[in-house]
Amino acid sequence: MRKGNIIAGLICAALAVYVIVTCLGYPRAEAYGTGVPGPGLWPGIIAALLLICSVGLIVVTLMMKKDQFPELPMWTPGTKRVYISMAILLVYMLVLSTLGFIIPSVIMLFAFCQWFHKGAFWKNALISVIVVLAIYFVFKNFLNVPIDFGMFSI
Amino acid sequence: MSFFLEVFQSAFSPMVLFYMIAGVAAGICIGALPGLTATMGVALLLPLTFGMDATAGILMLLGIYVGAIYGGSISAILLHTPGTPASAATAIDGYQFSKRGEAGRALGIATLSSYVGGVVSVLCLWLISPQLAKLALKFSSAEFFLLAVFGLCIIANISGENMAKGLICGFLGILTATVGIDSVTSYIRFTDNANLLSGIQYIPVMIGLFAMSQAFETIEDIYSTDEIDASVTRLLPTKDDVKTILRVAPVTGLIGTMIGIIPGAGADIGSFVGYNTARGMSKKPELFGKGSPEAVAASEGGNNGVTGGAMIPMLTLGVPGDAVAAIMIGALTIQGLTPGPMLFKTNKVLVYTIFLGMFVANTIMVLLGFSCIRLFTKVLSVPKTILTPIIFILCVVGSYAMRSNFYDVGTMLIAGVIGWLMGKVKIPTSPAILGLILGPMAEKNFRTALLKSSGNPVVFFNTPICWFFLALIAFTLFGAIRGQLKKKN
Repeated sequence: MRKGNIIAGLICAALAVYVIVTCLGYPRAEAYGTGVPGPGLWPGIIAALLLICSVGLIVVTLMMKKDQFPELPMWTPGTKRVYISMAILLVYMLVLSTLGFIIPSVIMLFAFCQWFHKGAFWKNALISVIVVLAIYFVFKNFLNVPIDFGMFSI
Repeated sequence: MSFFLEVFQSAFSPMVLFYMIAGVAAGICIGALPGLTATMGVALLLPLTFGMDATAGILMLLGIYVGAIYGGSISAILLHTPGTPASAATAIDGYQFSKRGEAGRALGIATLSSYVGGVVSVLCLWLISPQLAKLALKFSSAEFFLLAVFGLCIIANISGENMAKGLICGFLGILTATVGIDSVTSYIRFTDNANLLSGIQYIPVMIGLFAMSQAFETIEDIYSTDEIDASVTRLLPTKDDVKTILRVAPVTGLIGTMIGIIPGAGADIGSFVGYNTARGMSKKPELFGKGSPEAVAASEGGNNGVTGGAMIPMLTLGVPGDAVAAIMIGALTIQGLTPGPMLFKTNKVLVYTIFLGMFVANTIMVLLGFSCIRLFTKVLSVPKTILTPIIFILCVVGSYAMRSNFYDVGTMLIAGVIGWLMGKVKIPTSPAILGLILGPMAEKNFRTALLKSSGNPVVFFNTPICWFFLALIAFTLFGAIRGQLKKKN
């Protein structure tokens, strides 16, 4: 957790610095001649506040003793499952626009069911097909969402 | 007369009633399932409303909200695991009933108390909102700016154990909202991507932060199972229980409503404050924690009281009372409506239909609660191993549905990953949503006020309303800092 706090603080501080530097390059109020603040003022103020909080988080974390923080294991069987799921979802999203909704969704749902649920093969296949078709028809026919994209659309 | 007839017809049209019943039933199921919160349910099912008319869509979402807050009590009582954080206080005493073999009695008390709390909050919504909207019509941009800043200051109060983390999240939300074309000067900020010119869409961000990240969290612990005590008998409360409910729930419902009005304070706080107040009022406070009917009634009255309260600032000022109200703002915006005082002028029928619809949703909830509770307890046996992958697909379809744009799907996934990582380092996600909603409101009014005053910042100190908000801001920040210092000591 200690390391997590410091990393989170550093990322946010870096983002804040980036925003402030970018905002400095934006036109100032004088450029508009109306008294309205330029486009960089508001994000600049918020980024400055973000920077203060991020530095504050880092400083407070460093000042506290190591044993005051709970462990933050990021490489457990549970987190590994999450990383793999994220990767599967990323691939799913990448193929979705090309292959259409139904086929990748059925395959993804079936893969997850086989992995997590560990039930009978045919049951998982049936659940996957029924659920995906139900979502497809509800969104397409009842809610008029144009979900029939890709080469294998119905 | 014709106005009320129009409101009545609008709220009771068969289609709207159908969507409300579906929404409440779905909400109860979502709330009953540990790990699925009311916010997640509303975010996940929001895309279903894109194709509906505004009344049906909003009332369905309200049905989901009301149902989910109540549904959380089912698993709190049967499993000792609150279905939503709002039912955490219910779990303390509710589970004691289950251990005594009186799960049905506790569920009956929870159902009726939720209804009483909900109805009290709807009455407050009905009475307070029009007056508040009238007052808000007098606000200028300087006052709206200070109102938005007050809403943002609430972030400090809802930041949990570490204020810096909550503030960081809130500021990230505000910064996210600045990406794209600046509405005042048309200058493009922080992007040259055509998909982001109109800004980062906050519906996919909400779906990612609340639904996808929670699904990732569930995956970490996907093989855990809960033992269900399904012996639910005798649901209808006894005469004594009804007396207790009618004594406790209206009071805690009112407390919940007041808490709901405060931007950022949610049903979980309403529930605990209601629980503590009832313990203070009780003649038998020693029974609290040991299965007291008063405790269950107080907690459920309190959390359902928040539902109507949260709608008051959302409808009248455009400031969300909680995360669900923030999503509701998104839903209204998609329907081309802008929450705020003008809504009471331009869409009076819709506003009053929402009031009446909330009452109807609460009534549907109590009817479904008493008639179908055994069916809802069956939902608890749906395995997470199947439900979670289905949530993945719903998140993807939901984020795509709004603009039929795959970019939004990517945004949702990124928000989901960030939300999960934030959960790991105990950074709360709700402040980001407050930032996303209130950030643009604060910026627009800040700059408009300065434009009107030719850049003179005195405009923010000109009127008594400005001073009132400045005092509120100071009071809120002082309270939050004092709370943090107390915790440290």
